[in-house]
Amino acid sequence: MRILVVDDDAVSLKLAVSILDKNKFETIPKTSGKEAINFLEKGSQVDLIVSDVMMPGVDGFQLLRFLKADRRLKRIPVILCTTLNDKKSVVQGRELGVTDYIVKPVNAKVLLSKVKKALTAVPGAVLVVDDEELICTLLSKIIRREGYEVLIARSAKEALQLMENNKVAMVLSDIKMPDISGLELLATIKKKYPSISVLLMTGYVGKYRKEDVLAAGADGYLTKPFRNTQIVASIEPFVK
Amino acid sequence: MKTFDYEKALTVVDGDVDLLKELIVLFKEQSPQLLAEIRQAIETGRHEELARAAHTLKGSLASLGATVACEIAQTLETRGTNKNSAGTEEAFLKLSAEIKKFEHKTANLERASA
Repeated sequence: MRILVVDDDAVSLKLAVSILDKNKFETIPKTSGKEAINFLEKGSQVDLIVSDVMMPGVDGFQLLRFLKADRRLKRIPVILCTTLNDKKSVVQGRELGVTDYIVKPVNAKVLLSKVKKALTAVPGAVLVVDDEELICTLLSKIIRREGYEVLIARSAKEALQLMENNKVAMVLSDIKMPDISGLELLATIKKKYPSISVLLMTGYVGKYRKEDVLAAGADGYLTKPFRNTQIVASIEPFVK
Repeated sequence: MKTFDYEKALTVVDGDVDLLKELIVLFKEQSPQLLAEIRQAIETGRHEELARAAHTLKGSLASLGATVACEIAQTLETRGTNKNSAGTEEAFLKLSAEIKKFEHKTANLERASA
């Protein structure tokens, strides 16, 4: 897990970074909001941001606003560090969509527990299953652009393997595939992971009808060819 | 309030004395610059600058258990935020002296690590 830590005070920054490093997190320290934004604008991926509120130049709120205005970055959880007497910050941060707060001075135990909590709130990946490479690439591009993580499997078997080792929020699978079909995959997932939503898609509308697919337990039904907006609207309710 | 609240500082680092020592070394490197910024802001009447520099220094002091100095830094920050220069020079002198005391008190802790 990669954590971006932002603080203009060198002691506070070193403190947070050392505690996180010691607990096997990968940290990227930045000494200003501007530096953090430059880093993220380069396309760098992070799982969490821990930032001071009051910094010269770009402060913690401006950083938060920047993140929320970018669809690739808006889902990254953000923990803001603030001083005890700063109630105004808490209200403002909540309005801007902050994940959590830490009251300074940051202490090791509180920092670790809040970081772990914020990371479990990270939505899992969207698992795309299709034997057609082109469809996988296309779907992956569309979904990643919205800020979701994407995993790709070219068969049902590979999908189940990926689910063993990754946090998956939902599955978007083709129905007609060699070996195990999407409907069989659906049955296995619903048995093994009842809380994971499965959307099935097909180009054979006549063969796999919507009512039959939904009756089999799918959480949604999509027909190929699909439009980008359709994909985004269909997955959004299932990835929180 | 203490010049150096060792227990408090230990809680911050969750008992990691080596880390605490490292942070104190870093603080000693950084504090002259911040103190100079505070003094300059007071002399030139730049309230915003005073609030910012005092706030940053306060963050370090709070992490290191320097509770007395932290309180004075807080006073200076508030003065800066409220654009009120009353007593800032005196507070600055108190802050400098208190930080010296803090550095003296923590010197042994550092030597032990050398």
